[in-house]
Amino acid sequence: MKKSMSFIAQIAVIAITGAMMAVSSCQKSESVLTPAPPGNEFLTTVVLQCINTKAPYDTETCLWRDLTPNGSNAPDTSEAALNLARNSTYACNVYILDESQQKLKKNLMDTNHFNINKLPANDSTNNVTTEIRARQNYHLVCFTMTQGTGGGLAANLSVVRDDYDNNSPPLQVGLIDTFTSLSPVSNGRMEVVLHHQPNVKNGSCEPGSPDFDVFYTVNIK
Amino acid sequence: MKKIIVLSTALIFSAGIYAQDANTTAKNPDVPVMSNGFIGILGGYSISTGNWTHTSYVADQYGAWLPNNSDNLSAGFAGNGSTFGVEGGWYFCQYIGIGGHVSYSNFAFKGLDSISAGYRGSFDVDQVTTSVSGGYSIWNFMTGLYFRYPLTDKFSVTAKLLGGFTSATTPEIDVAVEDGGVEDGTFTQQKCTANSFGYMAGIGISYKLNNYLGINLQGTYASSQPDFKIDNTNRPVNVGRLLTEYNQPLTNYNICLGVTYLIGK
Repeated sequence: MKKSMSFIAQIAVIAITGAMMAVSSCQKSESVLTPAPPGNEFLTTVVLQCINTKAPYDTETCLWRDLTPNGSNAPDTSEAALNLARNSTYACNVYILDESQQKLKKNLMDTNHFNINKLPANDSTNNVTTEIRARQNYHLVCFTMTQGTGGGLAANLSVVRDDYDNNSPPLQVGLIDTFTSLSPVSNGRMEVVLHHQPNVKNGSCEPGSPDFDVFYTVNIK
Repeated sequence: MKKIIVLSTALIFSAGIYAQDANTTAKNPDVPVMSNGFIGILGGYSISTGNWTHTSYVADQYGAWLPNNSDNLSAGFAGNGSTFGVEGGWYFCQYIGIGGHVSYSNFAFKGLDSISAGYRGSFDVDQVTTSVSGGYSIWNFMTGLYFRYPLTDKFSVTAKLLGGFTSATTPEIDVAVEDGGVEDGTFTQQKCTANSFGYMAGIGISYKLNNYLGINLQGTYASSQPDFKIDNTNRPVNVGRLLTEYNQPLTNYNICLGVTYLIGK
């Protein structure tokens, strides 16, 4: 009896100790990959609207539109031309729209009639600018001038971003800008890229990937 | 003759009772003889409770994590885990003793999918890969009162009330961000260790296998509240869940089996 009791005790000690060690030792590392859900919005339309600071009636609007983001049709660049006066300063806004689900109303959809304020306030279907603004901490709009006539656009047009995000220190965003033109009549192409810079935004245009990459013809008259 | 039979019978019974109650005290034959002390190991399952088990990632309509949301600040993503420890005690009277308890508990990370989806939404990227190294771990170094009440010469009900030093460590969380086919770096919420006062209360039942060994089953409740100051690395952008301090009660229930070596009697 004594022997069997001792045997049971030994077995109990070994079993309990083993179970405790096994349970206590399992602290595993885990990893999970989370992809984007389907149905993200498209950025089909980029509008650049510039108001001459000394002559507000001089409001210039240009519009780049690609309603087939899959590339089946070429972008519509028929209204992608910006005409600026020489030696002038323009307060510019970049507006980003999604017309893939619902086209803008006719009275808003061209450069002569476009007015962002006439879009419904919570029109997230069309106006993606609000969302980009909300996500400004990892977005940056970059402007690049390419050579053209009259000494080249790069020498005759400067762009300064005026809006800042909530990072520490704050970094520029580029949805609100100041364009300053110089005197020579010139033209060229301006590339506007919205860089998506999650976890890498540092104020420069290099990091991240482009959300859109569009071109406008700029004429300084 | 009758007297002899009665006397003989009484002697035989008393001898039997004496033999049966070899583990009772001389002063009080109804009270079993119990060990003066014990030292043992214990281990079992830990069930986390309270705010630190919450897995909230509350964001606005654009996926931005809300830094002042109370659910966001209290969510600890702690799951259940296991505990292992040693303890010993010395009974200075029949029912009450003093003792010490050292244990290590770890708790799995709960809600990895939730936090990963939250980060992906906050950065609005094609994908994130979120990794955690283990989970929370807690060391307890406690001392206090131990109680026991014998039910039979083998079974006792036990209880304890302990307090002392607790050292807890949070898990490391790594998030690798990728968008548009571009690797956008990996940011890390570093492991963090903080110390605090902790307490533990428990009850159990023990069974004496022989004069030297006993086993026990006990349930305990433990709590501590370390103030973690958390470092985050490679976070150039103020986006997504960013926890720099965590100060919530780390409470848990433990169900443990133990083996004790009995000292003295």
